[in-house]
Amino acid sequence: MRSIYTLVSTLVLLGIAAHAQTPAAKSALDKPALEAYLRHVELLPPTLKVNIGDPKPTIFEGFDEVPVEVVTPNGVASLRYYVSKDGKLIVKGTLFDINKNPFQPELNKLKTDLQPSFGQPGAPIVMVVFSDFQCPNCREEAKVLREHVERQYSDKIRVYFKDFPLETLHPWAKAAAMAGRCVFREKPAAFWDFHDWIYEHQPEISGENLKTKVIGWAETKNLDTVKLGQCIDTKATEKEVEREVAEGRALQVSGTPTVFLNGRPLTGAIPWQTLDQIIQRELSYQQTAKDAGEKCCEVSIPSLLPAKK
Amino acid sequence: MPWLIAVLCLMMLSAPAQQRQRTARAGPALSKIAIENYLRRLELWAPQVQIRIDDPQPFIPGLYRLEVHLTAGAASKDVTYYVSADGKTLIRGNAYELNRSPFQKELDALKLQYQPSFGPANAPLTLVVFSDFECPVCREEAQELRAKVRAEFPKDVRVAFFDFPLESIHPWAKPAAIAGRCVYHQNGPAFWDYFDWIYEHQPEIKVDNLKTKVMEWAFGTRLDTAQFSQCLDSRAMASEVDAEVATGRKLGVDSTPTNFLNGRRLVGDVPWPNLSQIFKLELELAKQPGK
Repeated sequence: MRSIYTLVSTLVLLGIAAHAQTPAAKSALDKPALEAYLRHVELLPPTLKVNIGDPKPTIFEGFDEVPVEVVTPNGVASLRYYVSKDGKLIVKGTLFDINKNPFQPELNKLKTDLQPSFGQPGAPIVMVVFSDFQCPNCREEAKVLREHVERQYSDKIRVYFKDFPLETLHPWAKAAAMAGRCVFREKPAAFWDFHDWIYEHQPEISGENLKTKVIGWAETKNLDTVKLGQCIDTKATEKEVEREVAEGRALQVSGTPTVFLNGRPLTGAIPWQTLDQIIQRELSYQQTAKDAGEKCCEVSIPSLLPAKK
Repeated sequence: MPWLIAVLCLMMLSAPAQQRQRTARAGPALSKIAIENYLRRLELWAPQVQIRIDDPQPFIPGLYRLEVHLTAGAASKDVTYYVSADGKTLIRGNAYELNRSPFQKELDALKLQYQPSFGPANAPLTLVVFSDFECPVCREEAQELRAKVRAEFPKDVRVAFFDFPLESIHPWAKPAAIAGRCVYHQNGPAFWDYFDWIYEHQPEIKVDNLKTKVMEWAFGTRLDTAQFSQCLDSRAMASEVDAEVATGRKLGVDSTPTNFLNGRRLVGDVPWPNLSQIFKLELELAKQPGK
């Protein structure tokens, strides 16, 4: 509902004029009929192009899946519907496998190898944070993570950082993300100093002074500033940042901060009191479920022999 | 001999039918406890939330409808899920019938004949507002709707009102709603004077001065104040307000303002530029044949 609503408000704000549509027919397997119905349900202005895909079989005997794309000026929104084989019903929703973690699809998509992290390796909870150094809510969320999560749950939670700069809103966010990755390349442990420093100084940073400020900070941390300056100038880490953004998009991240707590998406800056409750619930689930967390599904017997790889 | 053939034929005809019925009656292979545990985890419902799950109802071949009733203290909410016949897959979302309005459930539930409204009765768009006289966001929305709807959509939009006082956080919201019903029953159009007045004076009203203020207002109108005062004291309208709240709850309303535009739910105070664009878009869509 919320995403539709955001989409609708975006579309509406664009002030797109509407014009008449083709008449609705009777079967949802008829593409124009389905399109007309969906335009009504989703309140899509007629000026936006809607691509209805071909029905594909699903695990339900009575339903086919129909992929739908809405082409907006901000990009293509992918929606998924299930249409009954008799063409009478349309279901919009998410499918869950009752015998698995509800957030298994998200867990499958989250890649945390070689990402900046703090906390306990092998922890029962993994939080993956998609963040933007120029976003004020991310600044709030970062404080919660560093002041509360790290202090209270250092043995139970591992936090990973992912860049998700919203370039259209935040002119220096991507450059800062790339600089952060340069710091991480040079000295992984310094990344969190950079993270804390940049959020702390967020209000004073601009597109013009970003590099000078970063280099100034790096000097105080005894980093190789020549190497760091080169990394920033050659945009050596741009691909990495873009890969993070693409991963976020594939996970339906549309705003920052978005945190995946053992796969569960949590959007916006969550107050510590609420987050703490969610963490406690998840910890108690994991005591029995053991279906998330770091290396949840591998059972290894401690041994003095070197691990076989 | 022919009768034997006839009997055999009948048996052959009826056997698969019986079998079909049996599978339909058997329902999906699911445990309500497992579903409850799964939903608690998925939706993060707090431990104090009581969950009651109805028996799954056949929906279409392969899929069952699952009504879930939630209660926590005075609050309650119904949520619909769908579950596959093998009990392995749960769907969270909405189901629509192509040949009916996507908002048929809302349209059926929202009976407007005893609700205050303004705007033409035959307007192509009806905005149903669930509101609380003590809620500040409702106040903003109310003032905007009163100022803009008649000016900008005089022929196209009717606004109807439902009370949805959030008693647990707004101590005078329900008595104010009752007073509104009293005004409405005495003089339909006067309801909107009351509506404008109470939202305007919302910041000054408290639980202990509500009645005095309301009576002061009534003396300045043509209302029969003796009858009005009695109506307030007798709380004769309380059950009407409760029925309005029940209508809202049935549609999943859990905050104010919540609006339904031709059945489409719009939660929260929608800024006027957005709302007027939505009106325009709906008007275009309403022109489509077959709608």
